[in-house]
Amino acid sequence: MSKNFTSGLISIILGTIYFYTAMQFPEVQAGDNTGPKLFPLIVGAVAVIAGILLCISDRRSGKAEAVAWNFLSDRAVWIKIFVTMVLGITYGLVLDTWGYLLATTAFMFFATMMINRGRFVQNVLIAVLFPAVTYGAFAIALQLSLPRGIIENMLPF
Amino acid sequence: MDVIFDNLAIGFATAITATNILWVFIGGLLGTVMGMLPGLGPATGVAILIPITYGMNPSTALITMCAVYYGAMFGGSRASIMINTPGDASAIVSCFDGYPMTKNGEAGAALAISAIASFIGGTIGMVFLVFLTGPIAAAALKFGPAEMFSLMLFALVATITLAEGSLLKGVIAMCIGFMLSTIGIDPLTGIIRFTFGVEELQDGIDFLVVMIGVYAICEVFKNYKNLDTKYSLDSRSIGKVWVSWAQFKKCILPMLRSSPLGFFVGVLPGMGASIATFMSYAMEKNLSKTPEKFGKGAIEGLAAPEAANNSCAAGAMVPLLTLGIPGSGTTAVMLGALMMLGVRPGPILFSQFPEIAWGVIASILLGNIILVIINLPLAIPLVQLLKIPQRIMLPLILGMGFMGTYFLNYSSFDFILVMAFALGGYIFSKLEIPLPPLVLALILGGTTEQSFRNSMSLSDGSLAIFFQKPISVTLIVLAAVSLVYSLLKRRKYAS
Repeated sequence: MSKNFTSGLISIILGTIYFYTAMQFPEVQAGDNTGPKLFPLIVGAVAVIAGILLCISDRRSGKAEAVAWNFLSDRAVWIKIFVTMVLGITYGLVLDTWGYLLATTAFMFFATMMINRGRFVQNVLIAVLFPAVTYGAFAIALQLSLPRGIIENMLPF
Repeated sequence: MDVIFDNLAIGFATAITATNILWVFIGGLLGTVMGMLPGLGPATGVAILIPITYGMNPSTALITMCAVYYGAMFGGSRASIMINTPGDASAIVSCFDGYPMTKNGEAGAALAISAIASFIGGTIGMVFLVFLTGPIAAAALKFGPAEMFSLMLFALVATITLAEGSLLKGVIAMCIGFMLSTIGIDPLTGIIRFTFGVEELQDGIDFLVVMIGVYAICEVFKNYKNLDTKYSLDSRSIGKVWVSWAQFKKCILPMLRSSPLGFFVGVLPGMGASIATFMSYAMEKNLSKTPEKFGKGAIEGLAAPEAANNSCAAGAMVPLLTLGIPGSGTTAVMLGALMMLGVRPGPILFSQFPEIAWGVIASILLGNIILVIINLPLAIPLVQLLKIPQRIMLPLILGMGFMGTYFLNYSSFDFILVMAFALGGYIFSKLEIPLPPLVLALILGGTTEQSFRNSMSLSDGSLAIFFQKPISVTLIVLAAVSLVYSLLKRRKYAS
């Protein structure tokens, strides 16, 4: 599919879901005449119309440019994006229980091992120094609250 | 006139404290580094450096962010000059003559004139800023809901029409921005909208989460393709970082002409520094007696866009400070960070918190002086940082991005959102959907909807209210003219 057609399709789908969801809101007019529905309905309708127009103009133009997803040739990039997303979400899930230092060290270790492959010592250094320096700067110097865990509870500050 | 000087005195009293000067220095240095590194720009730089402002008072936080912004503008051309790879889009033009100067053995002069032109552009921009902000903020104080809505409409239409690529894609991006802005509890009725049962969404989506996702983390995704890029940098051949009088003389008029041009381009929402630099380069080439030298190492071909670039950054502060409308991606990130600190830029900022508004304006001059000091004697050590490989930089950006996200709400749920927006930003870049309309609609969505609903309440549901007030009509006409002009221009270009 072309870039314009895909963009148009995304807009139509999002606009339709948004418009339909807005239709379900109750009619409340306390404080204003329009209520909570009108603005979202306008936005949803504009998204659908813009999407349809984009799809039509793409079909008429005759010079549609395909989307360069490059799932095969850029396989390594897509895998890295997927792994980063998994790492990021896992980091968020363990941050409060493990504490900032341990969770960030683990995250940085796996992230550097993926991005900076084959340089184990360099990666361990980054994984240890990054959380240590940022913890010192933000939690100790700037007195900002960072999640405390096993390591933080052993620290004297 | 006296009022302006009184206000500036308040500003300098706020800006010139030991703490602020230290943060201007740190922010400027970090911004220079961020602007210099290929693939990162001022918006990414400010987004990942937001955490350093969390413990600060609003004045110091805004002053630091401005220093990062200005630093990035100063630093953007370093990579253009040394390795023919722009640090960000606004530094593309600096490659045209900056890199040929390096190849001609004039790297020192190129680095020096880029710092000097940035200083001159920034300073001239600051002077315009001083004289324009007061009257605009005073006029904006008289705006009612109808004028506010028309202003938002104009800003959004201008951003869509000035964004690169398809107009319809700009509209789609704007709609998606509005959709995101309406998630959460409706402030006027208390109805929960578009949360789909997810409790964490009831307070809405913090737009800094979106910014960190689509700018900082998405940039990392895009750079995964260039992990093995190595830049050949011979810092020994730079020589003395200075310009001769003859070289400087050639640049005076181009810098003086490009600075006002850059400033007024910066004031317009959605225009951005890259357009300012291209326009100033084209202008100087047209005015030059030796246009054939442009592209082969003409020093004025580097000085003009550098001056325009930095005055454009000052121009972008006008709509941000006076109207609360960010004129660029970077100012959008700054607006988000400020709102988190409890400060809402706009006309009220000048009457209620003059020390913040004028402190920031005064800090721009201070920042320019500090940045020229950083960028002249430290030019050679700074360009050494270009040797740091992407494979080291990217994990650090990821780490800073996640830390910034956590500090926003102390919520791990935001990590899921930030990853989703990073992926969304990456898909948008593949589809060539412009980000500025989405970002602006997300930021202005709440105000746009509220001013629309308030206007409709005042007029008993009649749209005529938008055509009864002169300012509102003017803004709507401007939006319509901008749209029609853009459509005609695109049709002409297509044929």
